[in-house]
Amino acid sequence: MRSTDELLRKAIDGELSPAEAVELKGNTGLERELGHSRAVRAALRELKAPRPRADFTARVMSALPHAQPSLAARLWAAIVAPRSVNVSFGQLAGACAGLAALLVLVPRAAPHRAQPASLAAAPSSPLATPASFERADDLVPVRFVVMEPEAKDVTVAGDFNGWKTDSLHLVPSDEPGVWTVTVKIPRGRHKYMFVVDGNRWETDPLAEEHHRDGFGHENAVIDL
Amino acid sequence: MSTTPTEDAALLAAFASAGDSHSPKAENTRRMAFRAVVERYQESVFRLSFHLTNNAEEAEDIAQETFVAAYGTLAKLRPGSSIEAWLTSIAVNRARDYLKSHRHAKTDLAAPEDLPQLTDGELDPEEAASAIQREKLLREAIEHLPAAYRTVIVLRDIEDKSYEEIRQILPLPLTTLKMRVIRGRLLLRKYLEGRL
Repeated sequence: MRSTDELLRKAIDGELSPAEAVELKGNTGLERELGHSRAVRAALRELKAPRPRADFTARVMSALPHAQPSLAARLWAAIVAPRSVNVSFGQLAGACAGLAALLVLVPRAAPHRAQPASLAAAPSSPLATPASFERADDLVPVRFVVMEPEAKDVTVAGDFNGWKTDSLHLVPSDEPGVWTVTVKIPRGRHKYMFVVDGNRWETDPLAEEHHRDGFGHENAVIDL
Repeated sequence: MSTTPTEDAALLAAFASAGDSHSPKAENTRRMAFRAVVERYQESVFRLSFHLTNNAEEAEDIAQETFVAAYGTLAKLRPGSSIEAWLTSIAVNRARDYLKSHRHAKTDLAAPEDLPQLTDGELDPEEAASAIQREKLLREAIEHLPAAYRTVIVLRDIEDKSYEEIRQILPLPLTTLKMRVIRGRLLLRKYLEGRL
């Protein structure tokens, strides 16, 4: 490489000192080279490129890897996965008879609709129903599942039970650390949170939607 | 670089807000933030890839691979870093791999329909033809540069990046970088002498 090449580079990049500019000005050969180099650079600066296609973003987004779902998410998927159940005519008849017997007996044993406190007393009940729900056909069974391996007690509080922290208790499932409860709640849109050990509020990470509550928490939202 | 650090910081913060969680909500947050990154930088990443490869199809593949690779590691980018410099360094490495694998093959010049519309504006047909010819010649000259010189010439003389910006993309000592620029320009000038 010639010693003048660095001088040319500086001239093109606008780094010449006044002394170097004088040196360059007195050299006709270098000035000609500089003129050519500048013309090349100016032409390079004008080079254009086509734009990426309109669906570029969509194609990138669809090519992104999906995160490995957490254990809780996989458990949830396993819980809500549809299963086929074979029921014989005899079994069905027996179930109907049992249901009929319950309808006859229950009003006598519990003339008033159960209050939330009674739900807490029977956390293992397969279908706990919050108070004040009058029409059974408007109620939808919902299973809440949360992973809290260190918890001693987990409840769910939401607008469907007056945000009471001790009325709907989840019970430990067979899977270590996983708590669950199934309740019937009215159709509509509801906000809720889990309450761990009576004082720690946690949102449901599996909820499809979350809303800020204005107190630093994010309520989980469920649409029924 | 074309964006301010604040814009990059906001994008990084939005991406980082999802944390390490694999929950659907966190995944959604990450994707929303990353979509903004793709929308903001796709043109510059694609343009650079195109100048390095002179092939629109390959450029699009390289740009796409760049973003997919970036998605996996964006969370590791330090606050205050330039997303564009980081994406550019990924794209340069991808393009280098492409150039290595095509070292012995003559790369096709971009098809006329891939090239920008040089006939737009006030050029008459003769001038337009001359402009297209000049552009072809320039691309041919760039294509004849060895990969190491091609990269620095594209970054410095086409993309107009400063030496400091180039050093964020290519971890080279400043003197080595300037040396490559000098040699790249010399090779270009020799190739184009009497033709441009």
